[in-house]
Amino acid sequence: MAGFALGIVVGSLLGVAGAPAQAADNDTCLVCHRSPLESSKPGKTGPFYIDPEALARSVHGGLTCDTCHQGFTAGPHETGALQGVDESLRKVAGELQKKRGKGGVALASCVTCHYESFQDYSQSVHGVALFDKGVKDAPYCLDCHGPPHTLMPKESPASRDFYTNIPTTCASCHGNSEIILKYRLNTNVVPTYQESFHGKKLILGSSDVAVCSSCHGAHKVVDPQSPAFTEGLAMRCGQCHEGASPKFATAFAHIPATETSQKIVHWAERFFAVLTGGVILGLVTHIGLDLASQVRIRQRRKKGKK
Amino acid sequence: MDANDKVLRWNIHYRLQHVLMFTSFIILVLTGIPLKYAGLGVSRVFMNLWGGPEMASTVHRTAAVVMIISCAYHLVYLGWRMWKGIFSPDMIPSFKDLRDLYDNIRFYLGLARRPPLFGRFTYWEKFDYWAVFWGIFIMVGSGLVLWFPVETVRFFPVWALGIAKVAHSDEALLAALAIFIWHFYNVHLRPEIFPMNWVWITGTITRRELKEKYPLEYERLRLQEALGAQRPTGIPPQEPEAVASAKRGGTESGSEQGI
Repeated sequence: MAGFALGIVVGSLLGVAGAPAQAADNDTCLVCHRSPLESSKPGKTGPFYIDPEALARSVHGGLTCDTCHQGFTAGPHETGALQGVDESLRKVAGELQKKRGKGGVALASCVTCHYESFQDYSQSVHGVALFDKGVKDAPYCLDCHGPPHTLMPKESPASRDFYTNIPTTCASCHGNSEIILKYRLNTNVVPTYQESFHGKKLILGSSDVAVCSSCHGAHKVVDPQSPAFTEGLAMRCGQCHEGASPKFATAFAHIPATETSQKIVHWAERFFAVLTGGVILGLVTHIGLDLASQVRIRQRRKKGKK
Repeated sequence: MDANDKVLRWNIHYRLQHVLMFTSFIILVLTGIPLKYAGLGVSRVFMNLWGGPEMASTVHRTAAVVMIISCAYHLVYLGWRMWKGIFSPDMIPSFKDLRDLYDNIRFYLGLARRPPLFGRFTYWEKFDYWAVFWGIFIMVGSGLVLWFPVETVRFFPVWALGIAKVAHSDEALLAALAIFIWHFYNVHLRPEIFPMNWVWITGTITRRELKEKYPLEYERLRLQEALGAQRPTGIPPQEPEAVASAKRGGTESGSEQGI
């Protein structure tokens, strides 16, 4: 994998240097792609419609179409147009095509500018899963970052990578029961976060709490059991919890109270459930009895007066 | 001695402790329960009223400090009374309370002609007091753990945080339900008492009320008066406050009852 990644890095550096030779004017493309095209499926809008205004607003609004859609230089959609495309980019595109059944240069082309992120990604659990293990559903750039033509900067609340949107973005797989079952992911990840103070405050509108990436990072997500993750964890906790120790860092490990290691917490839950239920039941019964007797006394008094 | 004459039941210290306690309690509930039920849409509305979760958190901790102060005030005051030799253990649970519970339920069920004769505090009043005592102990303990988690794991196992979270969250619900259902019924909604038992403001109840609700305490008071202000328990007669009140020509007569 490392060799592959290195090849990509070197290649992409070259790619940047030899960026699209003939930058076509976006308007040329938008002549056709401005309006909804007929889809092969009746009643549906084709996939080629680009809203020029949304594109202009997006973080990539300043780019030309052929920054990503490389190879369309010899006239529209001519076959064999890929000849002029950088080889390393074509290699990634080919890998994507092979592993996911869909690829193309445009999908792979993030590498051209964001090669550092790609390098991190290719070492992550997600990158390894996709490129080394051939896991079809493993996320690639757009799965986390969203549709490319309306991609917003991460400072925008509309972005899938806006700080407080990150748990929702990750949960699109880690909270998806189909994906969880298929790849035997940890089922507790999302529920335990939602139950935590971090998750609760996030839902209530706080932006001052840890989200997934605060502990796991973004592009270089590694196995949480590995030293690469656990070694730096206390430091990451310490960004908010001053003086956090490695012991403290183990406190939040997505372990539900029902697990054996959390038995004592589980028993505390049971204890309070029984205590609360018992006490409130007793008190409500007492109220009911008291109320009934008060009503009875009043009726007796009324009868007495008559 | 007129039946409408008033007897001091809660002196100014107890009333102040109660006010500090319930204002901080209500604020703690309003800032804390929305966090417990963060998933409910209404919780977010509540949080926004406080100016967001960060502000609510600050308010919550401030109210907690007020509550801790009210407790400290109470305990120090009781200590002071002990030191002065005017502490009387009326709030300590006794076998009679169990007996009273049993007799009162018999009365409720129509198996006894009249309710038991209560002393200064009924068993349900003692229950309220000790429920709060237990509750504060749990809430302050677990609350401090959650406030200072980094410091806590320096001295305790990591699961202390898990326990503290469960205890704080669940005991809070129990306390809120107990106060807003049980305590509010007993001191506000009960047909005999509605709209409320004013003693938390005035500190006094009439001799008639004392005779009706706490007959044994009434008898003790009468005996004390008959003995010429010589307290049967050896407690000095006439609290300074009661004396001052009498001198002012206030309506409060009779001696204050020590807790």
